[in-house]
Amino acid sequence: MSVVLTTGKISALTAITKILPDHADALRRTLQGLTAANGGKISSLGTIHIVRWVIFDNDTRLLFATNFDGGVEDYMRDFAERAPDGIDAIWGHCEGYPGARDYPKLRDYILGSAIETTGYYCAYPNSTVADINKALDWKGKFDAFLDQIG
Amino acid sequence: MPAPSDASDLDRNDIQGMAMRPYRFPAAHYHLLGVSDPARARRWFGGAAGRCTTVAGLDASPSLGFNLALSWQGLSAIGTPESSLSSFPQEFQQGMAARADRLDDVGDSAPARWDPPFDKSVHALVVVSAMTPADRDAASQALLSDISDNGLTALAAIDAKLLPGPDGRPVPIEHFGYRDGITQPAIEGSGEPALPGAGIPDTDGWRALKAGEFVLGQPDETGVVPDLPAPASLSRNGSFVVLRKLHQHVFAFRDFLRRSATDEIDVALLAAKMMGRWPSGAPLALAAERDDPALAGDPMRNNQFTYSDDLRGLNCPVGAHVRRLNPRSGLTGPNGASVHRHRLLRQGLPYGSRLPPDATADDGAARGAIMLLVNADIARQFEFVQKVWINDGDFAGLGNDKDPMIGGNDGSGSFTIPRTGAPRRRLPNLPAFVSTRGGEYFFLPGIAALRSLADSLAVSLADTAS
Repeated sequence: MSVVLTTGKISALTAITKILPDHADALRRTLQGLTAANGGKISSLGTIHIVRWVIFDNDTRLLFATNFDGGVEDYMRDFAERAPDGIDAIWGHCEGYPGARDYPKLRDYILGSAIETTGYYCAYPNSTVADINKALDWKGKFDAFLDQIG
Repeated sequence: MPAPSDASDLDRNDIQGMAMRPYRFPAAHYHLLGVSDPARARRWFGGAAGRCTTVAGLDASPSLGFNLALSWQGLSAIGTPESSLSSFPQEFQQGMAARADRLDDVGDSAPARWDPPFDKSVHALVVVSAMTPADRDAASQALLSDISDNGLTALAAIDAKLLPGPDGRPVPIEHFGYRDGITQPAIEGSGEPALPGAGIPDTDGWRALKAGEFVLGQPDETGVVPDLPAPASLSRNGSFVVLRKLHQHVFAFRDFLRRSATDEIDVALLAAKMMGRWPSGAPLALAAERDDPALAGDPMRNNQFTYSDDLRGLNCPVGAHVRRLNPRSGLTGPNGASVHRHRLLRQGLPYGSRLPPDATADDGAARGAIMLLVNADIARQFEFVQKVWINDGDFAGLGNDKDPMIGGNDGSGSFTIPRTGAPRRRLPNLPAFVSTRGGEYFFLPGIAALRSLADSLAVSLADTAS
């Protein structure tokens, strides 16, 4: 799976798909809505650090770039089962999209449209989303403790 | 809208018993075979279909069991058409050795170190199960004399049976000294009694898993029948069996406990925390302080818990072996929602003799467990469990911790024991207590599919003749 580049425990995946004619505006609204909703169900995956979509090439193509923990397949499948509508709402605007309910076809579609990551840097390559959230939770509790004894 | 799963659709006479019901035979031979003459081998497989123990056949508690499965190399060796071979899932096509990095079969567990015959291609697995070793030996002898003229080569037979208890009678206790086999997934239509704690926690208690999690061509937990490998006449009512030969470093386990514990009572506590159950099988979830053999012996109680009242792992650590392999309702966060998609039916028996309790060093003997893990989707079930639940900790907020009993530890791992009223205890420098010594992915066909192997031989011969 050479389209996934890993440093430490974090991996990069970038995919480019063609937007269906006259679908760019609807796709744009979906992605803006997702941003406004703090990613919606993406946070429920618990393994996505950052994900970005870019509509480019005069509204004809969609770039999807993500940084995530663990194996791409281990979580993509669970996510596809839990939030197929969310995935459909995005790539349903793209050519050749098989739908999120047939996992093997979805996997082949996403990985098949992925391009090789050439350069990659991460400031915290060995910290997962779970590690970071846990550390922040502890820091918050420790601060509260210091406030109480101070 | 997918059709709801209806257990009455299930043809219990066409599904090999191993696919849906836990075997309780005390003895087995795992025969690993190679195909030397494709045409003869196909005819033999077709003829052996009628001897296979089915799901329905287990209703009568037979004294002998017979089951037959083929690896992808085996399907290829008997001349299965390319269009069929290429329709099987990628991981099955590749075989277990090629998936070593994903499975953490590295270092001492690497395929280059595997025992024969797993260092080469294995084409078929025949499991002969019996209530007594004598019956098993007789059945195996008959099998071996039968296959030699039928295009098959016996590569190895692994002798596996329950270990003797104090009175010499076989007991379901594995080499580390723990009662084994309490937890099995309840499966719709299997005919097994639905005991509390089997299956999946539900609002009304417990529910059985959909048959499609274990049998191809049935609706799975999503309510849908996944695409079948082609042709459906070959794959329907089949299943996948993952064979693992796992050597157990029993002395290293005892030695680690002695070095890590403060006294004998602490040895027992640490071991139970690592395992998630006491030696009797009593779960820490219900017996946090000390072993409770009466609880362990009661099948209505010994599995009746969900961890939902112990999310921090104060009774049973979140990283304990049995909790990792079946987290029930005990996972906070996103991973808790998909536990039902990563379940395995476990078959298998110990091999080798018990290390005496007073051993002062490793005796170098081969001992461990042959595990046969049954699932409908090797990548989603077995490989996910191996990679995420056993060999990582992130899914449960445990960082890099691996399964303390069977994880691929290398001396640098750790195990975390949460405690009440005291900081968590951490056991550092965990070595591996289990090493992989072999394994393969096998397809366990339905009875009609096995029969069709002989039919398709007739077809291909007719093609040749015309």
